[in-house]
Amino acid sequence: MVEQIHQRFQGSCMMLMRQTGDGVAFLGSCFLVHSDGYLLTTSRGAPEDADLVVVPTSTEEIFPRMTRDQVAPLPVEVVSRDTAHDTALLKIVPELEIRIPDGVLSDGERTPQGATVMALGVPFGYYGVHSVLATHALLAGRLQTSDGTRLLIIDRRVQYGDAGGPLISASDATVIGILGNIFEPTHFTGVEPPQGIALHTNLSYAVSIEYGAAMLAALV
Amino acid sequence: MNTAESQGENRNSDSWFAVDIHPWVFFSSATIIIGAVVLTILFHARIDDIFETIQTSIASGAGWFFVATMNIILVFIFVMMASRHGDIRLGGSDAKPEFSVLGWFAMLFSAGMGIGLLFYSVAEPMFHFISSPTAEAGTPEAARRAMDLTFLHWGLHPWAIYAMVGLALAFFSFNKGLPLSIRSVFHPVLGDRIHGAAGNIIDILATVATLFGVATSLGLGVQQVNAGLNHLFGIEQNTTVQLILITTITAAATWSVLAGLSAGIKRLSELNLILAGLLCLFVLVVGPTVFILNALGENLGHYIQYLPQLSTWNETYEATTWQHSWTVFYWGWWIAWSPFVGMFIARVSYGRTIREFILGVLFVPTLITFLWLTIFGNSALHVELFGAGGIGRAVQDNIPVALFVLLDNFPLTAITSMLAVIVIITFFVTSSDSGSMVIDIITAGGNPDPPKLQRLFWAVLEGAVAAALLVGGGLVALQTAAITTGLPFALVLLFMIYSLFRGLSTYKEAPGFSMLPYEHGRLLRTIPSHPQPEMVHGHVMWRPHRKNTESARGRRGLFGKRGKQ
Repeated sequence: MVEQIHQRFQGSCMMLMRQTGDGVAFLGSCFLVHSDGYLLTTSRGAPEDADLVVVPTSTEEIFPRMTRDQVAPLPVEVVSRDTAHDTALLKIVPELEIRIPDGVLSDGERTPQGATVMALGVPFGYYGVHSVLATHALLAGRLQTSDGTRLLIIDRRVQYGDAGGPLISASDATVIGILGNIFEPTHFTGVEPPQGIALHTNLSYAVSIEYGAAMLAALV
Repeated sequence: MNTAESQGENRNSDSWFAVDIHPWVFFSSATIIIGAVVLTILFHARIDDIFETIQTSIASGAGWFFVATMNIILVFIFVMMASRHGDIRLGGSDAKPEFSVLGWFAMLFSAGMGIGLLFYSVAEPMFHFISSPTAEAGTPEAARRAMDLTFLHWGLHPWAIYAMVGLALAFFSFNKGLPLSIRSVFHPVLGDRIHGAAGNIIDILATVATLFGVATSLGLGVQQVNAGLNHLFGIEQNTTVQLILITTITAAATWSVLAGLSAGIKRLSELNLILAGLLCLFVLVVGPTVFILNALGENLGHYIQYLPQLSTWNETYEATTWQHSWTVFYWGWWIAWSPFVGMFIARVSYGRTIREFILGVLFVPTLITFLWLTIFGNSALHVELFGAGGIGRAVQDNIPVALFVLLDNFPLTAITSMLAVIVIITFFVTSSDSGSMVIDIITAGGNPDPPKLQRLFWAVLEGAVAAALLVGGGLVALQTAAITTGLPFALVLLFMIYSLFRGLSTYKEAPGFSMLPYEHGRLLRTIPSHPQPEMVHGHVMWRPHRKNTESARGRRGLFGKRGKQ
């Protein structure tokens, strides 16, 4: 089942980059959600002042090169942004023939707690590893922040480059969240641990997908 | 972009002047068909003799081969249904069925069997009852055996053949991206050569065989309808009446095929099934209801119990030739029709899993067929065994009249006979329009939604061929010729088993997302970057206490780790 999910979403995840002159610098991950070229990512990962591009990462090679010295990026624009829920909707500027399976997006409510989920992203994009990697985790729980944002907690430590990638339910192969960051409770509650006691967490969070789905629904 | 129809939408247009033809297949097929019709009209007596001799030789020498082939295919289909391949969805894991379950069944049944069943549901049991190969004629045992044999000829075996051809075509087209065309099933062996001369020849043969099969059935069928109308209303049996019938049926089929699958063929098939259902219900209610219901269970039980014995029977120890004109004829007939019916079934089955496909194509039509055969066949047997009789003689005199003679035994004869005529005509239309659709697709290079002008051309040509052969002679000759293609096509079917098995064994679901490369972009070099605090800690806005947020930021370095104090 997990293998089939990976095959299904193989071409969806891309690198989000900032164009600077003749170069592009990695910003995070994003993923296709509509055949008109719409992609979702985190709002904070898509700076307003940047020339944004995306780089497809799927490759025909079985063992692709770890680092890509040159890439062929596609220009994108931010068409909608929800900073309160850290979600941004991008659109690929050139018109391309894109094929997307039906029913890609779900919601954060359907997948039961404890279910297997898959995370896709470019975890080490900042360190020159330009490949999408898949990992699986358990849906450890659901939480709501003080401003009502719905978060999905998984028992896997995501890397910074994963932010903006899809969190996929293994039971129905649909996206249920946008990967965020390591889940550090102090960032959410403000309660700091006492001096001398470190807080270790291997949990991460994703923003539930309904915010992104609503943004997409408003446009298409 | 997720339906079979959408595969053709970029190649098609609603314009009447749009064309999308495979030049070799289209023009060669049309030329061969017109040439063969002219030759047949000129020399039909001779051609009839030649193909009759070939058909007799095939029946006597290769009967065992047909029997073996039919059984191998039935077993193969059962294995496919139970195997892990049953989970594969035709069109890919995200494909959605194009038609509702009812619409799908209606089209399967109407294209696959409808018309023959109307005539033979009464006639065949009666033939076996009055001339039984395994029991004393006219006895209850002969009646029981008659239903066994009729079930054998119209049951799982023919539908397994259709399922196999349909499955192979649907799989190679919808899952492998090959054209919806007979040539595509040869891909595992011929490779890309299917797009060359070899593939053209295969498609031309399929087109010619399909058109002759449908056109000759139409030509012979209107003679039967005319016979029925004569029995009912005294309408004269002549060529003019038959030409009017061909024109009416062709006009309706042309409208249906031009309207498309959803608006035309599907609606007609559903109407067909409703009308046929009403007729069935009427006979069940006013006929010998208890006898029919008793017989249904008993017929099914006998069929299941004796299927291995019946389906492997070769007359080895009887030294008779009964099977030549019955079982072997039927097997050749179903096989010869399988490219047409299989192709149509493939076209309407997009989005079904292989297991659903087999359950739908094999079992549901078989059960409907058995219900139909029992209602009409056993009603006729009841009249012969316990009633006034006379149907056996009517069958021997004129097969199409048998259905009407049966209806004469029940009340409201005029209404039910008229309903029967309408059902016969609508079954003809649905066989004709689906045949035209199949030819349209093949000659358009596998485009599942061919342009209107081409649909009009083939639908009209089909009627024209039937009319020309009716007037000029040669309907039987060409039909016999079409049936003789059953033997070579049986070999093709065996090959198809290998091809399909190989295709399924190596099949991997295509990735769900795909995007054509952006060819106007330029290559840019990648430059190192680092995550920025505002990007990593964007979520601090969710913190309830701003003050704490600031202090936390102040105490933390990049990446959320504790910095230098």
